[in-house]
Amino acid sequence: MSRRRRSAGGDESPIDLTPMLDIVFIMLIFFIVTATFVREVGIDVDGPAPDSSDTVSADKPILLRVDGQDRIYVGVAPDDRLITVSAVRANVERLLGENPKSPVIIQSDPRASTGIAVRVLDQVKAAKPRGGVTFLAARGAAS
Amino acid sequence: MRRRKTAGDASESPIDLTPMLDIVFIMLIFFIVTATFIREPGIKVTRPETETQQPVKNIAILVAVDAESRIFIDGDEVDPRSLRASIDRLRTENPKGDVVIQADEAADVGVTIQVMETAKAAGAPSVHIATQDD
Repeated sequence: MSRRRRSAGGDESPIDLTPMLDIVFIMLIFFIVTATFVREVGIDVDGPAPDSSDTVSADKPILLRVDGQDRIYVGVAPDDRLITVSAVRANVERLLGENPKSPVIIQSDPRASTGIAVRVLDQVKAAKPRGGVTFLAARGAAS
Repeated sequence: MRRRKTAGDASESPIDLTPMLDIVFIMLIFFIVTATFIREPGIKVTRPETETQQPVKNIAILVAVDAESRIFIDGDEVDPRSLRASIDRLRTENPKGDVVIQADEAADVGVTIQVMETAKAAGAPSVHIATQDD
């Protein structure tokens, strides 16, 4: 039994490390390459904390309603007015000018299309309401 | 000039590889630990176009709602009644990330809002609706 290996382990290990290094590099490259960063842009829909939904808030809310045919109404019936998507921001800004802290409530009929509802939400957010935005679905009285 | 290296040595390099191996192992462990596996719904949706969109920073869960208002998670269609269970299951994997709803423009907003409210009820830190990235 002639031993050519030295038993004391110094800096140079007699075990060939190349295969392990290969495997480790391959695993590393796998993880680096498969780290695809899922990128999404979107709008944030969680509004202020639910305690702002209590009706004791002194500020009269601005109500926007989207009906089942994607028509947008601002105001409370029977004073509501039909407006277009592009007019939402101007209307909200005008109403916020009267009362800057009003919360805005967007009430959509469940059958309305997400595209219109999200664009209304987007326009309302562009108007930066300080009272927050609530986005909910409810079957309205008239559609 | 004494040469201790033989000209064509193949297997054993006299260069000590241990420090490099250390660094490589540390990098590998870093990537393994920080890899969160996000399950994509796997369907294509036409996202709505908006102006006030922002990149979502900490995505953990993706839920898709297609044009026929069917809900998709991890490549499978999910029944609205088992939606809460599915979201809870995904949240146990990634508790701290946000939920992003990839809703098609033509989807019923009722379903989108149902997904949104379920996600909030399941305790998601923040819920977003995905929009067109221009």
